[in-house]
Amino acid sequence: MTKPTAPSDNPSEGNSYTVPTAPVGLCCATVRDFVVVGGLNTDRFSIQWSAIGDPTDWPIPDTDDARSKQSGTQSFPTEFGWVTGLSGNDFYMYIFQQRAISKGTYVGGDVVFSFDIFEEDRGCIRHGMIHTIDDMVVFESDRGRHILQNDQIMDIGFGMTDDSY
Amino acid sequence: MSRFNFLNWRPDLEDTEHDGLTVAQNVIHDVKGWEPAHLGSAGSFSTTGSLGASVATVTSLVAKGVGPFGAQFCAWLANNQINVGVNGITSPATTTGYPLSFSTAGASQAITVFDVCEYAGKIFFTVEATQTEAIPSTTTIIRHTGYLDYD
Repeated sequence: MTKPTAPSDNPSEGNSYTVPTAPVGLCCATVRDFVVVGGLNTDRFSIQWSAIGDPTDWPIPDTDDARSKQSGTQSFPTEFGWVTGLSGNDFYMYIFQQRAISKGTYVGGDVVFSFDIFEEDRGCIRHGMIHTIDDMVVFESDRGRHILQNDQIMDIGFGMTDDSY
Repeated sequence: MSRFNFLNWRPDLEDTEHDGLTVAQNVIHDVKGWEPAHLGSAGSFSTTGSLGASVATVTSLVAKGVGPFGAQFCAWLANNQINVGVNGITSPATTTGYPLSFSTAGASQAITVFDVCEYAGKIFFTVEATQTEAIPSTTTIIRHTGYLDYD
């Protein structure tokens, strides 16, 4: 039996492409077969996701082209602040606003994602203050540091750690 | 591994900064206890190759790990331009607007937004850089979204 071929080397350099219709935002993440951009420079309270299976295709939202490719946008309540972080896997994504967290579950069809706000106090206070490790999301709110796992939030910095900063 | 001698418990004292504590420096917590932390030494930017910018002109740099083998996707400001690449190597500029430049040279420039994700053999990124001038008081922002192909 021959040995399997080793994986390719590190990506060293490749062609860079500007995506003309892709939005610029504060954060991005891969969710299932989509690339999602959040905190759009045109609307910091919204997210937008690409055509299914093609991160280079960003149809204009609410057009027939977008609907046929399950591409779309979603706005979140402005009272909870900007969208500052995203974390996704093959089934759902977490959308972090400055003072809230929503869960977006893939349902397909014309709806594509179903969104539910399940936390209306702790959020990701600023873009860049979030990191995903396996199925855990570590983030910082205006009250301290937390871990989100299986829709449950743990206050990991409660006490001395949060009081130290 | 160093061994610490635990003294008598002193619950009457504050949690921090009292003489009942042993201070360990340059260590990092490990599952087996405490291991020495190996401090890095200052490096320098290469002035050859694709980066082609002196240390003095690189005003801001951010990086995130990509791929399975520890590669770093970087975005940096040099010569008033946003550059992106893997492990500091850029691809040739295209006619579609990459890299982006501030229209006028400024003294206060920084990358303020940066995020990366990977899908289907592509590194997708969003980056934003801000230039702030005091006199006259102006703020200029340039933004770029794009992707790099894996080799």
